[in-house]
Amino acid sequence: MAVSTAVRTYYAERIFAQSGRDEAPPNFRPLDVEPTGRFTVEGCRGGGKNVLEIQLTGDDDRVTDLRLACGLCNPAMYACADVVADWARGRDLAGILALDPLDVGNLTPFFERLGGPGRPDDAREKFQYVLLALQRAVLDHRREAAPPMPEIGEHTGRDLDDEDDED
Amino acid sequence: MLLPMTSGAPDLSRFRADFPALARLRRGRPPIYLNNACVTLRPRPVVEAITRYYEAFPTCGGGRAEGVRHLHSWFGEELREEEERAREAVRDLLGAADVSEIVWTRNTTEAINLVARGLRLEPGDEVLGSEGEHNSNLVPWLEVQRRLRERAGDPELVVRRFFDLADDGGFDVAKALAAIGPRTRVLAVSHASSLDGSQVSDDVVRALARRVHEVGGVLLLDAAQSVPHRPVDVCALGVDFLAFSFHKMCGPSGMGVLYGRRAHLDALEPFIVGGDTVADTWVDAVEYKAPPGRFEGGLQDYAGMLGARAAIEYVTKTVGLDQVRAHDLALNAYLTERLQPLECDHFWLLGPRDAAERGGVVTMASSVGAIVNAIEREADERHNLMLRKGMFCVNAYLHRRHDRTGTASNNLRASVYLYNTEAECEVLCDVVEQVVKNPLDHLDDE
Ligand SMILES: Cc1ncc(COP(=O)(O)O)c(C=O)c1O
Repeated sequence: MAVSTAVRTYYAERIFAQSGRDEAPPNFRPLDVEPTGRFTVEGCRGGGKNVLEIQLTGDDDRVTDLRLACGLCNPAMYACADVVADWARGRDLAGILALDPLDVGNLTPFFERLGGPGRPDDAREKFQYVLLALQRAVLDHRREAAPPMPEIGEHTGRDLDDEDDED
Repeated sequence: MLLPMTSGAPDLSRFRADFPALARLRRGRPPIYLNNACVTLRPRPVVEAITRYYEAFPTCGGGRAEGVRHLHSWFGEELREEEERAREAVRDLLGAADVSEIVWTRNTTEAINLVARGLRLEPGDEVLGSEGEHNSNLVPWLEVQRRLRERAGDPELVVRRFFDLADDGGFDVAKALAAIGPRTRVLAVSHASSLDGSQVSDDVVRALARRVHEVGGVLLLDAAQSVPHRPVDVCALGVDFLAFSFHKMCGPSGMGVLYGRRAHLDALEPFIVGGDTVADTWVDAVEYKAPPGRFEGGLQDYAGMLGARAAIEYVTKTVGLDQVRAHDLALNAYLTERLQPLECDHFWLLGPRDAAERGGVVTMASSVGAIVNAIEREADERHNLMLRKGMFCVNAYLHRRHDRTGTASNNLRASVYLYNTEAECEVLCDVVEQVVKNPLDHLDDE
């Protein structure tokens, strides 16, 4: 499956360019302290371990820091997880939990941070995975039970903007 | 006469015809099999030997070495001959003093578990290994630690200790020797690494054996990656236990060996007991057979024994271990020479720089999984070339060394065996070169 141009550009500039033999991109470096919440999501086909792990620290109100761990395999997962990590750091817990990632309309700010062109479906799928995982890491932080991960539709390779045009 | 290839490798290509799997085609192309550190292909004589058991004398065995004297059974007698010859072949392969020192196991893992379970370790005893042991030479000892902690009522009790490898992943003999202490009951180390192929030389093994014997301990050599590739003589090395598997040396799956010096096997508690492990039983008592019988519970894989012997004959006589080793080293020198110049911030090789220190293994690593994925995918899709990706059962070491940079699982291993050719290695190098030089052109949504 082809990687969308938006993902490719973000990945090249923010992930690939910032990774090296002795360094991982900032959001993918381990936390210096024990995380207070964590969640692992299986969200990639094939590839490496197929999992993304979210580890966060927080207080009663906010996520104070969060990091991601995965095999740097799937470019879309990488790009989207990076976008979500920047968005979530410092954000209030209630705001994170209130978001419904399955409603594509709610993903607009994430597509904007990813950059264009378009709103590609490969990124849509990964934003949903990462946001659902983030919410479960927040629940873990609050020692609350998390609902099971919902099914996320496989991506079709289409651009969501094209879909909108058809409506 | 052996014609050298440009790499200087002895030309073993005439043996390729012995391997039926090499004659297969997919999309009009043959396979290129470079996952030999995991499992090798099997030549026809091995397959035929396995089949011979099922066709000629498919009955239950039990050779003299296990204390069975008279069978008075046509098939049974023939099978017994075969069993004995197989055990003798292993004895000769390893230079062991006696057939009773050769215990059939399912694989290396089972052999190490047998030792870990059977040694009567007490709280206060210590087991030492390197930081880079295969899970099969780590987890059995962590299990021992868990049980001794329970017994001692001390959740912090340290039973399994480790010493660091060198910075490049090679074996650091000074560190190993320094780590052996008065409490060391077992030094359990791999003879060659499954991660990067790095080898422990015979001199070093002898030095380790001397030191661990001085403190009253035993040396267990995990020889899964060495016995298939180079001559190993247990007496000359001074090892007390040694484990290996036949599926890494053209032999059947599910067949392995534990070698143990007779005095140590005599002292070892049996692990899986029941039928075939006993000389006699009463309603409330049991008399175990002498080694090796007491360690071989239940009816055995007789077909596997025949296959094991055929594999030994094939590798050591038909081809010759010295040829295998020279061929491994020459192909690895070629791979290393072509791949090392491609190293950059996103791609590098693991293990010692000198190919001669890595046997037939070259392991590539990357800062981004997308690169190893792309190499693996293109090698498979365009060339039927098979590699192995991941952590190769040395998770603990990779986590310890590479979690900080998130690269612990971004590894791709190529491992050669006697039927591989320089042309096959060239295909791999071409694929790697294309991907590493233009990684962003090879991104895929997987
Ligand atoms: C060094 C080493 N030790 C132990 C093992 C385990 O061998 P097996 O799976 O045959 O038990 C392997 C297998 O790859 C290995 O490479």
